[in-house]
Amino acid sequence: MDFFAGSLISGLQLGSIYALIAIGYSIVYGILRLINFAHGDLLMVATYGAWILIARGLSLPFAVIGSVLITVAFGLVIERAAYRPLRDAGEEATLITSLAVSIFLQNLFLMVFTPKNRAFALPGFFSEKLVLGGAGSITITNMSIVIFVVTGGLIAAVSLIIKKTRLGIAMRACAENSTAAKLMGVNLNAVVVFAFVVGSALAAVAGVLYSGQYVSFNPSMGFMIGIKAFAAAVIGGIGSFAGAAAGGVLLGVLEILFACYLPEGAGVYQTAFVFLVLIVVLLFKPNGLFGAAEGRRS
Amino acid sequence: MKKKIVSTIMAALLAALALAGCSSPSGGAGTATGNGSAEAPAGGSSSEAATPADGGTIIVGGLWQTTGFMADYEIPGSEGFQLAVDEINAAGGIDGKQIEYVFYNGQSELDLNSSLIAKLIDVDGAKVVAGLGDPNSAIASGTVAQSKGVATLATSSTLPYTQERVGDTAFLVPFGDNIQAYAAAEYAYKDLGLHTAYVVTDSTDEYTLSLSKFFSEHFTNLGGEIIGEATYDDNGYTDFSPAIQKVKALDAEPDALFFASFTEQGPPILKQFRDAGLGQPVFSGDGLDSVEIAEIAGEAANNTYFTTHVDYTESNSKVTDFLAAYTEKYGAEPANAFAALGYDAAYLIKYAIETNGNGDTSAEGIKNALDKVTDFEGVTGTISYANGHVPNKTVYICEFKDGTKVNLLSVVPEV
Repeated sequence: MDFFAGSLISGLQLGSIYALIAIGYSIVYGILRLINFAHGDLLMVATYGAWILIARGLSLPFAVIGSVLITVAFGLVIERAAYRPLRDAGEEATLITSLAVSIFLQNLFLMVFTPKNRAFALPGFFSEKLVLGGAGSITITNMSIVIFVVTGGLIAAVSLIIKKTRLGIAMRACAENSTAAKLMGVNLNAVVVFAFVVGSALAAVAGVLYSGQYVSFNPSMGFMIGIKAFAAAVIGGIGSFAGAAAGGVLLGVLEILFACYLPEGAGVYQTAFVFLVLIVVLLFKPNGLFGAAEGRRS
Repeated sequence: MKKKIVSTIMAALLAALALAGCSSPSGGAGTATGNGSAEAPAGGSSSEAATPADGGTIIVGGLWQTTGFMADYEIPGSEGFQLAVDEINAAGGIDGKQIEYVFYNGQSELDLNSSLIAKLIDVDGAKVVAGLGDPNSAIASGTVAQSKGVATLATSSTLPYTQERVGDTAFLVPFGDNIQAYAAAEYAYKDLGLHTAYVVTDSTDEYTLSLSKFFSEHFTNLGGEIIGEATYDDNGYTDFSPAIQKVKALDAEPDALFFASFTEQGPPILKQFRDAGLGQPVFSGDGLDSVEIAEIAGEAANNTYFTTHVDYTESNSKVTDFLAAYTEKYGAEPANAFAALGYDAAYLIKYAIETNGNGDTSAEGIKNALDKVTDFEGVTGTISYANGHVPNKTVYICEFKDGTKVNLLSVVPEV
């Protein structure tokens, strides 16, 4: 039981981070049908941003805010410089471009910061543990609590924005049918910019949480996490906000539970099993768990 | 290794999307070059001999992984090698011949290493190649060199059965994993009196696999018990909670932990185990030889012991001279023992040719000369290839303490 509880907490923690990243993939895809592979690398940009600001003597909250601003700036520049000129060029062109942007970002940071692994040291407070039960054998660190609270809060906030604000409604309208939305006077560029701002900001927070939890970082850290978060967005139904959040949590939990419960020797293939689940989900629900029906692709 | 898998994923994704997109099949499905390998290999020629000395030149190749997961070891290694090449050339070369040194960055990618070593040998005309990266890459590129009859000197790969896998042109400058893992087991069992151990292994590399295998083997032979094992694959994987949960679910906590990992996973694994309340002594191999780990992991790195190739605090003149020369050239002390291994590799080539070469500097001549090396005195100890191409050398045991690396003792392996 303790074993299960401990594994579940770790899984939820990893899943929360995947969820934050998957949302960014999903909302951008919803509007532009663009799979933005450079999205994962924004995690890395955010981590370096926060790291530099902390080294400059900023306190942690300000460093995180600064890092979010830096990451949003990167996201917007990428959108303006790489994706907007290609908006009418088709899905393959922007897909390849996003891979190019990803490689460019990694190599840029490799050049500037060297491939060295760096420390992302948070104050000792985050490593402190709370006992949840099981006679002291189920514990949770403050870092995990921070991850859960921040993720939950952000998901609630973004979901409110999407449901209630004018920009949010415009965003959903564009996701539904961007041509019709344009005809109704929705400014598509403003909506796209807004989607990139939200996506980049969430990726920035995810990056800081991830590096805070796992201590060290380097220029290539974002790619694999990005791929997994992309898979999470697909499981949930790419384009769907709730689907991305649910898919992220599901993927994180499955990944850890597979690693914990698969027999000795097979545990190492947990990622393969996770992707097996992806295939099974897609076989039965081709649009993902929360995906919209077919026919939306223009 | 990991990049290879990343590129495969990318290629698969591209292929899937090209098919799913109902677009013309001329999309770039097969052309995904992957992360990193798309850039031109960095590297170059640093031939000191713009005007060759009278005796001609010897072309020596370097295949260093100065980016990717092996960079922590191979950047210092390449710097040590470069330093030695410069010293040798300044002192008149090998048998009066200047070294013409050509090197490439293999980016820690298997396929790139295989093609670059072919380029070093066929295009640049290298007669011997040093560096080679982790065992996976070293076996891949070593096999290519074997087919061309050119000797390779691996400076960071410690796989003891490299010669069996590759052939007679493969030489190791460091000791093998069997020796270092045995030393770690002895230290844990005999010196510290630890009788049970839990082993965590990165399952994607020959190095980590062989390290764990030899540790478990010797620890059990000594009378200890391996009470459990966990493996992980290092593809962007930094969450060790499954291994932690497994250790915590054991009836009794182990006396010791053994981690077979590279530097990248060092800080996360230490931090997570310590955060989970597992403060046991940790043992590992030369993969953890990096002060960076102690700096990044901080207190979590305390009580961690690892084996490595040299003790830079020794007063032996080989060591002090190397340290002085390295610090003067690069402005800082070497990050780990791999700088000294790179340095030794260049002098080993010089020693072999001058002692056993009879003036033959063909690829075959150099290979035969290396074969006969006995008692070469390097910074990292004495190298002899009389009993196989993996030298028996002294193992140094170090400990991380409050952000620094402390040398504890040296162990001379029993042959």
